[in-house]
Amino acid sequence: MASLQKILFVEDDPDIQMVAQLALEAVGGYTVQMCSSGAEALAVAEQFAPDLILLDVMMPGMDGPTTLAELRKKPALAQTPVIFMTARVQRHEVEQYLALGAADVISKPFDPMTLSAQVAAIWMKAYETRSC
Amino acid sequence: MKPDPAEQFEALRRRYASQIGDRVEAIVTAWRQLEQSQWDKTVGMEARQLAHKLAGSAAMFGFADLGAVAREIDIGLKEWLEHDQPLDVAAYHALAQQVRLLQRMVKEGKVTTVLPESASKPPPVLAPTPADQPSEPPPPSTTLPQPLALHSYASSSREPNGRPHTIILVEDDQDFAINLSEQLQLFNYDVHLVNDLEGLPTLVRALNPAAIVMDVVFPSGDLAGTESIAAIQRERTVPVPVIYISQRDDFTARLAAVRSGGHAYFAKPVDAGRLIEALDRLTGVEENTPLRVLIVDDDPDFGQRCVQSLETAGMYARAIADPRETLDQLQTFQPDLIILDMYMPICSGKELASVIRQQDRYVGMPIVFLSAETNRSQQQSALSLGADDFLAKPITPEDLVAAISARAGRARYIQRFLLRDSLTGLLNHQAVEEELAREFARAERLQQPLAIVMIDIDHFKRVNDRYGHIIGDQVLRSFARLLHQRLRKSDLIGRHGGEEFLIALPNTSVIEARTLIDGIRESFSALRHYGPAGVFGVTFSAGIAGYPQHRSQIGAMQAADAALYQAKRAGRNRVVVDMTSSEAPSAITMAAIVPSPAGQQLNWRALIISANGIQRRLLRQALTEHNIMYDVVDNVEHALTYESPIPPNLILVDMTQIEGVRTPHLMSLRDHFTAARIVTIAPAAAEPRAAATIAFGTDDYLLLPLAAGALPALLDRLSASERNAL
Repeated sequence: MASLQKILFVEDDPDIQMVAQLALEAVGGYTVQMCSSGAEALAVAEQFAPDLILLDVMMPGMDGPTTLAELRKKPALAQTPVIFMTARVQRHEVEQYLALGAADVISKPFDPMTLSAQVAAIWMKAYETRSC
Repeated sequence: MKPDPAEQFEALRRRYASQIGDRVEAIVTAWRQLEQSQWDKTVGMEARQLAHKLAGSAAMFGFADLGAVAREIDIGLKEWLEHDQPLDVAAYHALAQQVRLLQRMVKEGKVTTVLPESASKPPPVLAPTPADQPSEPPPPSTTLPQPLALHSYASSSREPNGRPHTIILVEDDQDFAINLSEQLQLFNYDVHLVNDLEGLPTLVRALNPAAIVMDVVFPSGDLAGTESIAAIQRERTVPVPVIYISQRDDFTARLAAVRSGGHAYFAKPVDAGRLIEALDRLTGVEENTPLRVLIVDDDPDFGQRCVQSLETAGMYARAIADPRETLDQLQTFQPDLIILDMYMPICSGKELASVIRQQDRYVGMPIVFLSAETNRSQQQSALSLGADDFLAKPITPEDLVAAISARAGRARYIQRFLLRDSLTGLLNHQAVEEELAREFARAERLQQPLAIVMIDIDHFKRVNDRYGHIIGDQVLRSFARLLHQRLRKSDLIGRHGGEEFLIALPNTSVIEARTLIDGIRESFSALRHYGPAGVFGVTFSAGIAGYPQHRSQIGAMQAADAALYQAKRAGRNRVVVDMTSSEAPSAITMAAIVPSPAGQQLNWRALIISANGIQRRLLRQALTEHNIMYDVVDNVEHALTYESPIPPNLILVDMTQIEGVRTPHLMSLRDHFTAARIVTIAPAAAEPRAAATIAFGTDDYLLLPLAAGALPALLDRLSASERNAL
């Protein structure tokens, strides 16, 4: 059975990167690759081959939805579950993001102590959906 | 050994906290550069980037309120950057204010109270300064602390009733769900309806609701609801409040609900009033303002430390060193409790307590002495002079907070008990009339309108007779709650008698009051009440009168009462505005004869003359809200060639188009729109200039951003002068 090991985290704010790194590595025990922009994510994603991608919606340059669309063009990443992270989200926006192919949406700020558990639950659900 | 993640987070948080000053400073600097650059977009982009970053990360480290202010700046700059317009003056002021607020939050130490250096500064024991002993630093905190002190800013900048709370309602019975969500919306809850359990976890993560209301029995499993809630709660450190509603009322279902972390359980049919009561409690809507404590101590350092300890515990505290300021402070700060030092150079605590007690209104004010005095007879004599308690210095912050919060809380409770009606929690008969007298005096002093509303529930006796007093009481309570939700904090709401209510709305004209109360009337009549014999609805009638139409409180109350009587006679479930005035021979009989408010009869058709996008948007919004037809043109020239089947009778013109060298434009407008009133539109900061345009021939002016009720007040003034002219 597959398991969640590698996470690609795309976020332009270095402070949030630090918290997330701790939350996912120290609390969750995952291997995390940090990216500061959509472009950077596109450059490293194939090689890193993540099991899951966490993607900030609002980034300068390439925003989250655009990055997702670009990631999906790469065959190796076409199926990788992607979670959007965003502040101040409205319900219709959640539906929009899901329609774009996101596995889930997490609101910022997230709780660093439980982020790993949330991510794991989402990944598990996405994995089960895919295999049946 | 691997370090504990919680400690690592704490280290990160402290590091972040130590940088907040610099981050805010950077935003302030960027803002100044933006001002100096004459609104250069590149500089603007940099400023926005800085605000955006602070907004994004501050909440992550526990500085949610700082983040919220930064978010306002971020959004304001974004709007400007995305529109090809110069920054509007109103928008500029709003932004400048937010930038100053950020600065103040840092400067006043509201942010630094949770900074790392605090660990080395305040001693754990509050002792008088000379006796200060070296003390151990407090143990490091292992959890992520909640910066309590920052909270006050967010709440003070918000509207009284605040933003609606988000509620997720999970219910597969469509009709019931829609009905319940409509009722919840009436009480200012933002309801998201979900039909099945499928998308619930995602929605909870994304919306972060204040509470979930959930039906327990779903087709997918007998107790599927509780199982899915349990899964959601496992993901969180702070559980979401959950209220279950269910067909089932058996022990198994209730137990499953409790085990999954449910906070309340309602068996169907659900009484919406009780459900909302439970929601209010869970989401903290119920009033819970911080206790206020005044400290009088000649040692300012000691006073300051008391303030810190009490504020860390969520109270508002203020310290003064000069006892002579005490009476002023009692009036302006309005503490729930006062702490007095026993020995002060100017006067002793005992003397000061006597001075305070000599004033009728402070007879009930709890006074606590704080002193190094250990002599029992001295303590006794202090207590005999009207002090409520005696606390000995030195005292630990914990003991101080515990002693003070218990006493102040009790005092407030008793005060509430004396002033409030026990059934509805509203002001009681006597309190509301006393407060009303104060409001009347204030309206007179400030020359502001004041509306007085008398409300009577229609056929309330029938409700009591048919459904019993318990149900009747429920109706009264839900009405009281509705009033609370819809009115401002500054409005007085009282239960005047059995089913009669008295409301005073400061700075509100009777016409505005009518719109407001009529909205409440509609909501109330839509509310469903649940009795043993089924579901029923109740209505109310209201009469409105006010200052300056009536110059005395008694006159205004009588006129409101007469208007209420008229509403009842006209068939109930309606709002009638009194149109008499104290100059009229008999206010009471006039109210019954005069048919309807003249001010509302004028049918306004507005023409906005402005090239300023934000100004146009604000005006359009306001006019639409008040159902006034309008059209928009860019400049005076266009206005003069503007053709319409019905000519406008209200011209709203941007001040910059008729000021200075453009004053002739105003003459042209006057000549062209002979039957119209001309009103200058200007930013609030330019009020003197706007007022000056009246000398050149405008009828009035309107300031942006619009204050609540500013537009109806303007129309009122215009209608009134119209009537006088006739």
